[in-house]
Amino acid sequence: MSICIENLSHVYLPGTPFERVALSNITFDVETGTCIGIAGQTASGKSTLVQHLNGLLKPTSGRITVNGVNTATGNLAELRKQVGIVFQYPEQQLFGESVYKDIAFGLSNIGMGEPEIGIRVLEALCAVGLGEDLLDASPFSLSGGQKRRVAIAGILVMRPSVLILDEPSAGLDPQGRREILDFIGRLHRRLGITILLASHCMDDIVRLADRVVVLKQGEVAMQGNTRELLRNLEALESTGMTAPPITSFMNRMKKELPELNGCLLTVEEARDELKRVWKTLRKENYSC
Amino acid sequence: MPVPFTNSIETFAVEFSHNIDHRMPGSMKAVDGISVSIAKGEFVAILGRNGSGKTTLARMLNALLLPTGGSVCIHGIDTLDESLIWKVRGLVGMIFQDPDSQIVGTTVEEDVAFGPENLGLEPGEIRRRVQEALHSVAMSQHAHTTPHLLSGGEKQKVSLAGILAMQPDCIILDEATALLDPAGRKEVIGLVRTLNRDKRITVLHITHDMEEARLADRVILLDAGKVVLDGRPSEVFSNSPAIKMAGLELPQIAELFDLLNQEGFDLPDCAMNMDEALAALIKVMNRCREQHVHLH
Repeated sequence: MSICIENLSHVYLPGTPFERVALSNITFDVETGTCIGIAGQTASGKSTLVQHLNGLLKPTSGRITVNGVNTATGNLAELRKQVGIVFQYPEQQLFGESVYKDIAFGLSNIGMGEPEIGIRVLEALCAVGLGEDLLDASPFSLSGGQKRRVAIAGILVMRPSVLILDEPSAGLDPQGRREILDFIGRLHRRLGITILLASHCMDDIVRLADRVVVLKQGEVAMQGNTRELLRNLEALESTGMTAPPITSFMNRMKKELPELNGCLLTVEEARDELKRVWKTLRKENYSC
Repeated sequence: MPVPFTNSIETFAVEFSHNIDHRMPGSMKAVDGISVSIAKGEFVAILGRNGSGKTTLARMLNALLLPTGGSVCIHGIDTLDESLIWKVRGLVGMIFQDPDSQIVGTTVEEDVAFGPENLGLEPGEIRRRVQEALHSVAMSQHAHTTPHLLSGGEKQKVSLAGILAMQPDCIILDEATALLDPAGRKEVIGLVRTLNRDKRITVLHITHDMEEARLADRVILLDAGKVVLDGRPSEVFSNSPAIKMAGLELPQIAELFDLLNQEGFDLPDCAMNMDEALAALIKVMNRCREQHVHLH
């Protein structure tokens, strides 16, 4: 098990008039090599949860272990090499004068030497699907989607075994969004790292995650297999989440056309299922 | 004699290039010859990928940027007429993407009062307008709250109230919903739609969200600083090759219909709302079944 969270609660500013319970009694596990989605509205506790996973925040009560290391009592330096967090708008954290220097920053910080750094930077750049020709460019001259990928490369260069992404597609245009989600999917399949994807957008989560935990006001409102969870749209919507339009549409379609199977998450799945039923109906027709 | 203008916004082959002083041959124009007329009370979605010129165009509409070629007229006022620039900015209000970067007041009420104060209105009038604006966006109960304690959607509503208090003719939302969660988006869009209907405020909604664009009266698609498509949502979204060429995606249901038609389904390509789409698809599917029954 990669991540174990047991009865995690977090209270901001306890004992002051501004005391606020951000997380209460969160319990779930993430298996090694899987991709899990953390869904929830603004202020549902996603970002607070994410910051617990590499020890930036400590539980008020309960405990978290990542690869067996307790985030409150374990070796933080080791933990932070294992857990890479890509925060919201990671491109705002770029500061290097070249793409190379920006990506290499983490490695030079842990005292790694030059030839090794060079190899790792190239590897990370390639993992995010950018070309070597960008290495000398200023990160600030790149497009929004490219900047975000450089920022993610700066995390991947540390070779984390757990990668956490907080709203990775927010603010990108449709093409940038598709590119970033595709490359996270490839990364997951190729490197087999555990991925935790926090998002308020179910469209993003269904593309990548096999399991989802839905947070509402700091509590786990729902959790389970992504497809199973989307069967119960009313329950999902009561948490403030919106199902992908295609899922809602096919759900309503199924009421009119009971022959349709299950819960469909993407446009392609919907097409294939409708085509299948359409062909069956036509075949029956021809056979008469 | 005042001339009655039916168009809120008109642009005539408007152009904008950054660094015009040292313009290099072949340097890109951010906006390249756009001519559009937007009537009073229209709800228009403006679509386009990053760098397509959406924001530059929007900023020319309230004279934050001035055209480097062509012209922009707001209610018949040319934005190049410096003596009327404040009039233009009073007519066209703009809400930006980041809720945190456009709030200046230490309380909600103070923030909303910022615009009318700058118009030099009487204190009584300012108070009346602030109350009315906060009421329109359903934020009256937060009048004395500190803005940073509000959610993103609430902050955008405060920004919207700040603009309403200036009694604009037109509101431009520059990806103002992009950073909000689904509930926040729904709230802001619903509110803008109501203001558009009840107060006949012209709305220009710049967005990447196809589902939101679907709700507009009219969609203008930009790419490389030019208008690629301009029409009703059903017309624009039925042109899937142009949408894809411009680097965008169709709304999911339009995409499904497009894929099904490639498989030989005979679906109309203009069914835009979910109910219409459902009815059309059921009709096609049932056609097989009914024929089946007839043959028996």
